[in-house]
Amino acid sequence: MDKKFYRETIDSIKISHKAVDEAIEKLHSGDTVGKVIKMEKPKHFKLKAAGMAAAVLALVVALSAVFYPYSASKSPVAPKNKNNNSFFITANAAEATNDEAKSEKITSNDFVKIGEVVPTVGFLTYDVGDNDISNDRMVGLFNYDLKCEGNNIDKVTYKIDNATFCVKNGYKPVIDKDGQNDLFKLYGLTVGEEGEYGAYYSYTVDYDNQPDLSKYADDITAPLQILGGINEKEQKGQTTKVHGKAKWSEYYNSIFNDTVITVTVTFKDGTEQSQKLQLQCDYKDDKNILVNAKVIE
Amino acid sequence: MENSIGTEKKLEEIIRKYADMIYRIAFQNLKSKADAEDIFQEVCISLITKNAPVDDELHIKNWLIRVTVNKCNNFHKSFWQRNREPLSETLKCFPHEQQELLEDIWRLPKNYRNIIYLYYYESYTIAEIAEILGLNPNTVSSSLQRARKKLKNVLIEGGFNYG
Repeated sequence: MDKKFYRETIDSIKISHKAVDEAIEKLHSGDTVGKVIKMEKPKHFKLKAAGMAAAVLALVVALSAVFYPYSASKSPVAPKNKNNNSFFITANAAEATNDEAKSEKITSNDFVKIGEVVPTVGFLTYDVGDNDISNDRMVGLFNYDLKCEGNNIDKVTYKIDNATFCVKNGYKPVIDKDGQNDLFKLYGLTVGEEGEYGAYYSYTVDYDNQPDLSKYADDITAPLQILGGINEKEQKGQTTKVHGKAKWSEYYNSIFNDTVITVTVTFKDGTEQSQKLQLQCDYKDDKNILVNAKVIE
Repeated sequence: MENSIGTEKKLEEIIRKYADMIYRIAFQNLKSKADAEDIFQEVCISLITKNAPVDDELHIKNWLIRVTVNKCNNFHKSFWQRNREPLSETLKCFPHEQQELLEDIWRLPKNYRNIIYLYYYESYTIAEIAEILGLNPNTVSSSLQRARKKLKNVLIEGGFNYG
């Protein structure tokens, strides 16, 4: 190969001044820098608020134990809670409008946003070779951020049914995972290259070192993602060339129809408690495709 | 810690210095000027908002390459971005022989394109490429050989012999 000709050809590929100026303008406008700063402030506040709330709660619990020891042990719920083991799940998904992380408890009442579609990826197809799209499958990749809060928790395990977790290899907060890279083949997709990501049914994290995924809200390289797919029956006969937005909306909204995440916490005394989350995809428009969750049991 | 004006100045220098490099990698990966510009903007946002090693000349370049390649890999899987721009439209501003070389490069698997670029254009060693792309050096070496062979064969078959 003629290196000189190759270099000349590559030399002739130049970005427009307009694109560079646009990036510089964004830098000086402080839009993006501001977002980083804005994210930190509420977090500190929340930590303080959470700390105060925890202190008040601890005081109430302690006083209750001192003044009402008998009634507490006779309570119908006492056997379950006598070791104070409990937990709840929170979503810390950044707001699409301002990237400001907002922690919210997930309950059985309403769906709560836990994340959104990975920017620029949208509905995915796997390009075999570069141009052979015969094996395309319709799948969607989503960033998310779930955490657990509670007492005496040692570890938290997330297990997903009818979708898969994509875990970046070597991501330290994940201390254990279960699955197989072949899972990607189910979706006709590999995420990253050369084994950068693996696909897993479940993963476990230490309670004290839970991943902070809110900072990856708009990042396609987030270390944990959820990959969901339209079932095979839905996909048959589809190609990447057809369908208007209404059809895409329909596909998106059905992507997590049967997807459930089981969150199991292992307490320091070895006991376990679980909650199940039903996922839901909410296609608002091309730029706002959310993944929501609510507790179902 | 440096003040924000100093940081902004440094980031601006980095963006200006590596704009073409980011764009070239993205263009070779995505075969589209518009998509390559989108990736460039995304890489710049990551540079501004993430903890990029802005004080380390060597590492920032490697970081930018890695982020660009990663973003391109993800971009490739997108439905919306596929085939948005006809190839003939993309190539029309290049002279005929360069068009043919670019088409031949685009026939290579994506990773081969990146390896060829980093080796022949950015003059990285195989070990450095392996580190940047998170690959085994043996994989890089064999990919480079295969890419070289494929590119040469393609060029010969196409009526040109560049080497």
